[in-house]
Amino acid sequence: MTKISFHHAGGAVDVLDVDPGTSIMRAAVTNGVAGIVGECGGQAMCATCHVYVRPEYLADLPAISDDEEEMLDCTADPRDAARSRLGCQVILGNGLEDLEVDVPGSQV
Amino acid sequence: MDNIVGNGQAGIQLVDSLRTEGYTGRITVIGEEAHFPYQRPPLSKDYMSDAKTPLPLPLRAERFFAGNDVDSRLGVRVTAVDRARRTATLDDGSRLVYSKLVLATGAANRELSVPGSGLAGIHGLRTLSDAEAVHARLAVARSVVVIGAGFIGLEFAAAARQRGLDVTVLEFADRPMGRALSPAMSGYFAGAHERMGVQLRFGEGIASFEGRDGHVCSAVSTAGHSYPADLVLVGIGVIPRTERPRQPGCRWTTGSSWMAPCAPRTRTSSPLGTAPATPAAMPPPAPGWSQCRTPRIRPAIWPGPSWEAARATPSCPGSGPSRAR
Ligand SMILES: Cc1cc2nc3c(=O)[nH]c(=O)nc-3n(C[C@H](O)[C@H](O)[C@H](O)COP(=O)(O)OP(=O)(O)OC[C@H]3O[C@@H](n4cnc5c(N)ncnc54)[C@H](O)[C@@H]3O)c2cc1C
Ligand code: FES
Repeated sequence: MTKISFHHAGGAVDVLDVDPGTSIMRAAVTNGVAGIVGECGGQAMCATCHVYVRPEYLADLPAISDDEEEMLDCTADPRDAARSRLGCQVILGNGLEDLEVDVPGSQV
Repeated sequence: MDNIVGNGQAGIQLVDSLRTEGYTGRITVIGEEAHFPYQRPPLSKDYMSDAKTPLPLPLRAERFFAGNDVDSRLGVRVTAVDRARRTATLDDGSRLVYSKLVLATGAANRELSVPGSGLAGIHGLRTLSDAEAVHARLAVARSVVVIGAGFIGLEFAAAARQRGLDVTVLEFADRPMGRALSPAMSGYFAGAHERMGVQLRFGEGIASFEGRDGHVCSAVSTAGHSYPADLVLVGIGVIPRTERPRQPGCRWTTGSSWMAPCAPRTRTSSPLGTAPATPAAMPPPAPGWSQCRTPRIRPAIWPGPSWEAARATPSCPGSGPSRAR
């Protein structure tokens, strides 16, 4: 199992244990984490799964693809040059066993 | 009690919007599919390109339904609505009384009726059950023929090609996704698929299928060419599931299939019935059905149902900021 923590504004945290191979977006949508929508179903086409990855985990993340790069410019809340990622493009497991992200204030 | 018929994108978004806006009445959702409400879009994309057994993506988490006090009746179909008595009859024989009924019955795949279309190995793709059957078939198939170069046909063609299968797409028109895209965009996508090794055959419709032992083995096009096929995916559009509102006395004021340019209302002429969305790409279903003078084509894609459902909420009784979530 891999662990992911979603930090919300105001301090609430959702901590989930999910199977390796699960994306941040799928983990959130399946478990009803508020503030992650996933409208396109994980196609890097909607940017409603935007998260800010906490700095201590940035080095463990996969590279940003061209599609993700383009979509990150379309997030509802401002893109953070270092921390913004699309939750559907980051898969847990395989070296990313533990992750903490901040949930943006809006996705649409 | 309210009942919402159809547990697709529109039905579930409506539940969400009703509760968000403070509606406190009982909500029952009736869905013909036995599956927990799931997202359709991935079914023609990663669901197919992934050789492992993929998981569907839920429309909402399970706790959404419990937490919002929603009674989900899955695996049952509404077969009749009696507007005078305000009852809906289900195919399990039971009958529900409603105060307000919302029809969010979506669309069904248009079916092919050419010779041989009943052979095994010929599939449509709309439901999770369809996707499970096609996914299982992909594991053993070698040659795929896709009928129709629309969104779903091309997405599926790309996924099958990614998995190393021979893929031929037959399209009656002269370019892909012609209903939705400009010629330039069609050209872009045609090129992208051809570079992947997908064979695109424009100006060729499907004439018939040939089979061996009850299973499809080739597809014969209207140009007379025969293409080997042990899996056929039919993606020729959808028709709205309007069986219910089409009853006598219940007429749509703005058929949502082409309502966009009309008044932004989604109510049926019945004071009891509201139809958030029936996405469809088709001519008007019947003369006099819609008050819109000009039939407009509405792309059968996702944002439509969500927005229509969100717009349908204020007319529901009891909605309002009375309940904090
Ligand atoms: C494979 C696939 C890929 C897609 N990809 C995309 C995409 O990438 N982007 C995009 O924007 N859109 C996409 N779409 C379209 C999108 O999924 C639809 O527009 C959307 O699902 C429509 O939602 P809906 O709630 O109106 O209808 P539906 O999803 O059709 O839901 C209606 C539900 O009502 C049920 N029902 C119908 N009649 C009855 C009855 N009498 N009693 C009980 N239940 C009933 C049906 O079983 C169904 O579950 C895709 C569709 C498919 C099939
Ligand atoms: S779910 Fe749409 S971009 Fe991630």
